[in-house]
Amino acid sequence: MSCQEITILLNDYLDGVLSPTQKQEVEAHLKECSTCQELLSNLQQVRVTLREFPQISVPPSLAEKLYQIPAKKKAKWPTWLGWLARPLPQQITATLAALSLAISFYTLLPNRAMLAKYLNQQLHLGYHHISSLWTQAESITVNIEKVSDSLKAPWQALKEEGKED
Amino acid sequence: MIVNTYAPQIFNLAFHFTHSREEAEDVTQEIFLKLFSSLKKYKKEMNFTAWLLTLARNHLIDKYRREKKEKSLRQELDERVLTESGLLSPENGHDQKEVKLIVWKALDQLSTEVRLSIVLFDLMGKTYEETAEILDVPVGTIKSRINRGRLQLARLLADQQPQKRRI
Repeated sequence: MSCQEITILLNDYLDGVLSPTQKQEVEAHLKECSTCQELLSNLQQVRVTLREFPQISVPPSLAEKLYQIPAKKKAKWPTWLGWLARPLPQQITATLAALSLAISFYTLLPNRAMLAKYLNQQLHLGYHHISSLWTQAESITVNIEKVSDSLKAPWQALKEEGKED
Repeated sequence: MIVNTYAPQIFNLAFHFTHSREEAEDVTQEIFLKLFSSLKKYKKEMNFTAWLLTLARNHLIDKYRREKKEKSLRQELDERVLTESGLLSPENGHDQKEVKLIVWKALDQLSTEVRLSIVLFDLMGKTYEETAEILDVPVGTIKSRINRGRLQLARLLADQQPQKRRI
């Protein structure tokens, strides 16, 4: 067995779960190879060290904060406002808030006329863009119809030829 | 009840993952906040400990997804952190202390998934099956990650103790 093959088996060797044949092979290799011997010794040290790291206790200040979390979550909304925290009213409230914000922004704006003009321009540009797209789509439809008409006659001829055969 | 039973596990997982007490305290609070808001998703037939530790694992991975952030956080680890946390007890001999420090620092060099596997299995004493359930991978994957991780730590230990090799 090569060093690489032995390396993979070292943890199982230390756990004592190798088959007798594998165990013999590992031990035979270890007698000959100082590199693998050293790796085994370090692996043993690592395994013991990892198990020796003790569990650390939760600091009392942290425990206190954790105890308060459920209470804090409940107290987030006063009881009489609790319905606002439910999903649907939340969405409606958010939409109304966004709308009122947009309306107040528009009505309170000093140069409202300019904004109206700009919005009007943008609307017209959009409308113009849509209508040009519509015209293009119509011309494509007409072209498709033309092509399909031009194919109809040869198709009929081919069908009739087929019947005669 | 939930806090008393599970806070030590979450805090230890966070501490061994972040290697910073302050960060572990913050992360534990965040995980418990998440826990209380996701309790509705928990189903009775699930193993609660595994479910909670999976939630913790997802939170840790999401939070430290950026390797840079993870590294900068964990650079602050030193002997002080270990001593203050009681991981280096005064009765430890010099060599033992040195090995503990090397292994502790070497844990940082493992990939996130390998480190989490080692922390859960070797440091927190979970079984292969429990670790696999928490990390949501097959038992075979966990065994191979732990094998790989321990070997990597053994090699890093050898690199840090060249004088012993010569003796």
